[in-house]
Amino acid sequence: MIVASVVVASVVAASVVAASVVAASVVVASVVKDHVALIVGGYVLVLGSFALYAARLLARGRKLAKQLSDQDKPWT
Amino acid sequence: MTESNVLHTGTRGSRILGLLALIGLGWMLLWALVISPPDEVQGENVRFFYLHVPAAFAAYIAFGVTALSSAMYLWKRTRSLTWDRIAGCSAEIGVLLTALMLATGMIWGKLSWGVYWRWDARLTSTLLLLVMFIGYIALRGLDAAPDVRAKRCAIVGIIAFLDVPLVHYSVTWWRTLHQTPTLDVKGATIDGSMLFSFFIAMIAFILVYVWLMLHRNRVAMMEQAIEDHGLQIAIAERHAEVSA
Repeated sequence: MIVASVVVASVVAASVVAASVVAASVVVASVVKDHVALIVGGYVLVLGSFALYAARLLARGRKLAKQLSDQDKPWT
Repeated sequence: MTESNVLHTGTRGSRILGLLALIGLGWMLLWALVISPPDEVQGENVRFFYLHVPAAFAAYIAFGVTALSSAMYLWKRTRSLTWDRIAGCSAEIGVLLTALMLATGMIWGKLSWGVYWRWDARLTSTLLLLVMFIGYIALRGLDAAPDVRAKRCAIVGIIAFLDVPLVHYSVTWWRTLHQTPTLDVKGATIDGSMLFSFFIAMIAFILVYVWLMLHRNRVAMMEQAIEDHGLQIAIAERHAEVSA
């Protein structure tokens, strides 16, 4: 049940991000006339890298947190 | 292994920080792509400025934290593996930021200069910085006693950081294809909404760095704890074997 919820939430989140990127590209393309693809591509690359790295960190954090008691997590 | 209540690395503070970083990035997109005007010389290509320079500045901060933490580890009075851990976490984020700085710089270069890459002083010294810190991360992965590894990494971290001023001043010390700094102690060559967009982007990138650093450090703390638990179990098992 939890796995299914996570999968559904991930698909929804990915769809929202994809739709946002497409919407942002359309808005940007209407404003920026030159080299649109490269400029938008640059922003997608940077923000996408941040998102991927952050998602990887959070997932690793969750995985490790399951193996430890709260005593080993000084931020709790 | 044990019962656990908290299954994440977040706190109220980190969530607020994350929200601020997201708002900052949203504002950056709005100002950098929509509100700020095209440059007189570079036209729309100037929009890379709001990505490339903040990434570079945040990378300098990340490597600065690595160098400072490494120095704190090497200084006997403050020697602690906590400094080593902070140095490693910051270097990893610095590598990400430097790679993004190079990638955006290459695209910008293709649009402005017509080529993705030139072996000029700024580009070459930046590539060297990336390679040195990738080497630093590789060194952290080698098998060694924690103290030995921390000492080696601290020395390499400080040496690698020496390239940062070289990268920054390369455009003034040598004749390069890369433009000279837009902002320095004498002032800025941009103003108005361009300058404002730049500051928003800088703040957003710094907030992202701090947020990533916070979570990366917590993950590293847990990795260390699991390693320590594994060691304790192995020692207990060895003791049991000997007594039997």
